[in-house]
Amino acid sequence: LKTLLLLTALVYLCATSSIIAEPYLAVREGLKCSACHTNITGGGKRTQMGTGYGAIDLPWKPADLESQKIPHYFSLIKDLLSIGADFRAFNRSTFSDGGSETNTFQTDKSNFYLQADLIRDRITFYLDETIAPGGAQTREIFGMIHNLPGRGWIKAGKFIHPFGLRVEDDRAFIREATGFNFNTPDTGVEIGFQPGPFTLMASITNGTSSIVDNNLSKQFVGTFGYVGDFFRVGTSASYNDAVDANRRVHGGWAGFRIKDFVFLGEADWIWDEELTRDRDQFVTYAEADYEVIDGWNLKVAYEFYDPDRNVDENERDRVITGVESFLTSFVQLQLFYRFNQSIPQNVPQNADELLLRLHIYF
Amino acid sequence: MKTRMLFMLLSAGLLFFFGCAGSGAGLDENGNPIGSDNGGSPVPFDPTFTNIQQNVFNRICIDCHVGIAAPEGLRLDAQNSYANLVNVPSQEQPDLLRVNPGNPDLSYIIRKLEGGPNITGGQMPLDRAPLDPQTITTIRLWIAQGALQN
Repeated sequence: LKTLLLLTALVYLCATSSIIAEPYLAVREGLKCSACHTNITGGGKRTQMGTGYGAIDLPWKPADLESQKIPHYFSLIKDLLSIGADFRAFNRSTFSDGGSETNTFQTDKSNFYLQADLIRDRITFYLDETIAPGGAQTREIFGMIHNLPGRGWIKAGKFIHPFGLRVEDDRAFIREATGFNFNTPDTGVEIGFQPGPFTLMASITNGTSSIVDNNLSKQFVGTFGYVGDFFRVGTSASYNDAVDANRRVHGGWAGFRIKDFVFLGEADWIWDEELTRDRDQFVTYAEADYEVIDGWNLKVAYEFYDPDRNVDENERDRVITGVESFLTSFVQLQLFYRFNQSIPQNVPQNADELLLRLHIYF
Repeated sequence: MKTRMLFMLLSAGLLFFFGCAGSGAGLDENGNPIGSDNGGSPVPFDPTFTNIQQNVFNRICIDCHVGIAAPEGLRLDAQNSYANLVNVPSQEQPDLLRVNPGNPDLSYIIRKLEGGPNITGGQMPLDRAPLDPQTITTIRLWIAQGALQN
C-alpha cells in the first residue's frame, strides 16, 4: 500500500504542481519574510501587502472583494490599528502495520493578531495570541522600533528565535529537534539589519522557553543570509548555556526557484551537554514545490533525523507529499500524506499519516 | 518541459533517500541501547518519585524533555524534574498545575499522558506509544498520595 501511495504521489507530481510550508512563497516571490509579515523574521500577522497577496494574488478563484466592499486588510484609524488571524482545523488518520489505526478531527493551532503602529513606520506594538486549541496563550508580544539605518530594527519582548527556515510545520525535524519552532518563543531583545539583499539578525534571550529565568546565563541566536531574486542562502547559530547544561545549534539553509518550481533545504547540527548525558543530533530538511496553476500547488519533502549520533541504527526519516489549494480569498485547503520511518520496534513512529486541513487566514 | 523534468528528477532524488531509517539493532523501542542505563523493557514499579524517574522520565521523556531547550521549559532529568513538576503551573494551560498533589484529575501531566480531549498539543509521549495503563495508574497513585519526593 505504501508503494502504491508513493507511486500515486509521484504521478501527481508529474501531472500537477506543489506547496505547503510558507517560506516557499517568499522564495517564489524573491522576497524577504518582512515583505508580507509584520514580524520581520516571519510568521504571524500579515502586512497590508501580505494580506493583499493572500486574498487577491494567491487564490485559485479570488472573491470579488471590491464589488462586495470587503477589505482584505482589517484595520482602524487609518491603518494604525489592525488585526489578523489564522484558524486551522484538520482531520488526521494514522495507518500502522502493527498498531491500531486512528482518525480524529481537531482544531489546530489558531492565532489572533493585533498590531498597533504607534508612530507609523517607526514604533509598533505587536501581539500574537494563540486562541486554540486549549486555553489562550501569548505566543509573541513585543515592541519594535524599525526603519532604523541599514533597514534595521530592535525588538524587545517575547518572540520566536530568528533561526533557520521558518517552516509552518512545527513537527518538522528541523523545527522539533532544534527547539526553534512556533511553540518555543522566548523573552529578550532582537536586533537586525536588512541592507540590500542581505539579512543579519541576532537575539539575546533568557534561554528558558519563557519560564522564569533564575540564572545569569542567556541564549544567543544569530542568522546571516543573502536573499536574491532567485536564490537565497544563509547560516544560523545558537548558543545556550546554563549552570548544568548547554546546547549549541549550527545550521545552514538555502532556497532557489526555477520558473514555477521552488526548492528549499536546511541542515542542522545540535550538541547537548548535560550533567548526566551528552548528545549530538543531526537533522535535514529538503522540499520541492511546484505551482501548476494559480492557487494549486504540489509538494514533496524529505526529512532525516539522527537523534543521537553516538548510537547506531536509531535514525528516523519521512517523506511528506501532497497538494494544497488556496481555493478562494482567505481559504486554504491542504491534503498531505506523511510516510514515517523509524526503528521497527517503535510502532507509533512508523505509522503513516493522512492529513486534510482547512486554513482560514486574514 | 525541461524545468518539469528537473523538478521530477530532484523530487525523485529526495525520495531516493527515503528508507535511511535505522534498523534498530541492539536498541529498545525508545531507541536506547539495550543494557544502557535507559534501555531495556519496562517493569511494574511502586508509586514513588524515584521509580517514576527511573522507569518513565529517564527511559522515555528525557529524549526530548532535557536540557536548556526542553519543550515548555519542562526538564525531566533527575536534577530538575521534581522542581519542574510539583505545584508548577502548566505552560500550555496555566490554570492547571503540572502535578497537583493529591489531585491526579487536576494534574495536567495526567491529562497529557492519557491524551484527554482538553489538552493543548499532542498526547505524551509524542509520536510514541502511550504509556501503558498500569504505568499511568502508578503515576496517578503517586500524585494521589501527595506527590512526595520519595
